[in-house]
Amino acid sequence: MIDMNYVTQQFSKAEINNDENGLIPAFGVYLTKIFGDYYAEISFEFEKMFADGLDDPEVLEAARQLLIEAGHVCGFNTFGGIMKSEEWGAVVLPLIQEKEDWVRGMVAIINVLGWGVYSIAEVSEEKLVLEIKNSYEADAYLRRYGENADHPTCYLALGASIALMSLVYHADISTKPELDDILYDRLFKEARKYAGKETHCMAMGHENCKIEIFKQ
Amino acid sequence: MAEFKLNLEKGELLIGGKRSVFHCNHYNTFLQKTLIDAMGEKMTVVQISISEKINLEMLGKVTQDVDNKLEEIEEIFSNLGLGILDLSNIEQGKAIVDNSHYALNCYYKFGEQKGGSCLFANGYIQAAYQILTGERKEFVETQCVSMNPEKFENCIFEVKT
Repeated sequence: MIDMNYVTQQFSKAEINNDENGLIPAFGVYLTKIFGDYYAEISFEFEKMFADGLDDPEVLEAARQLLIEAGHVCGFNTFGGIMKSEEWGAVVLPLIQEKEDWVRGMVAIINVLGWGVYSIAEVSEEKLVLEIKNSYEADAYLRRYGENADHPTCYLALGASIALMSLVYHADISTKPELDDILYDRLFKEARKYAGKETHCMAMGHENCKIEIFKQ
Repeated sequence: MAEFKLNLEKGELLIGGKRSVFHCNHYNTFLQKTLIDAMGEKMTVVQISISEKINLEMLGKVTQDVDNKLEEIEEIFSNLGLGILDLSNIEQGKAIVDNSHYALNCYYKFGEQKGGSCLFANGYIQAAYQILTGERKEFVETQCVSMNPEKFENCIFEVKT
């Protein structure tokens, strides 16, 4: 089994900084280091405006699904780019012994992205259970509203985690597929295999957040 | 110069007491467009205003003891990965962004846009103006590369009249 702490430490030493154009090209994408509160607050405000004071669970769910889909886009491109990168090839690939190590390696790298501290409670092709300490989305919710949420709030974390399982077990990222619209549509629309839910959330008063991804 | 500090124990990347997070161009532009497509122009206003609020807090803290605040604010903009910010005419109510992350990526992902795409930058510039002049003014992106990259070399923000 891969040493996740070693991978986190190695990637934490990487200098991911802007170039002379003020941009941060890395892993086949352009990164930013914008504030977590910005993403979280625009998402929460959107959710509130979309429901427009209605207490309609279907309307709220539609808003949340859009935010979770943004998480798919994030995970598909960023995680996909990282798992196809030279850095992955140099640090993580030599340590991989089984398919699950692709998930473990990627989760270890998430821990240098500022999203909180992710750990894996369970992983197989059928199921992923992630525990998240200090999720930036839940943290932002509690600071913005000063009270517990009545629903889970880590939309990015949920959407990106579904993308991670889809990349590893559905797209077989080890074969370095093209990360294009065709593959995206296959993974998340036409032949979708993975779904998930956030069962615990710090914003609701739980100690940590917990995400479960399962094969449909 | 303000620096980002990674705290692995807490999973936090901090600058000026604010949590930064790494995200990619695909997520940034998709999220922004999704919110506007679903809710219309009012989400444009919301995104600019939340950016202004958050950046005002962060920049206020980071530039508190800095002599050359303007240069520091320009530098942080690049450090965030948003492009090159020129505030040399900010007191005259004008700011310019070269290589705007949002403008370039909105164009490449979604084609020519009808209006400005740099909502986070717009809020950042409003916060910068307030710190540098002590007054609050709203800015409008009057020219954006995403509207026509062959015609526009950079993105221009001007005080709303």
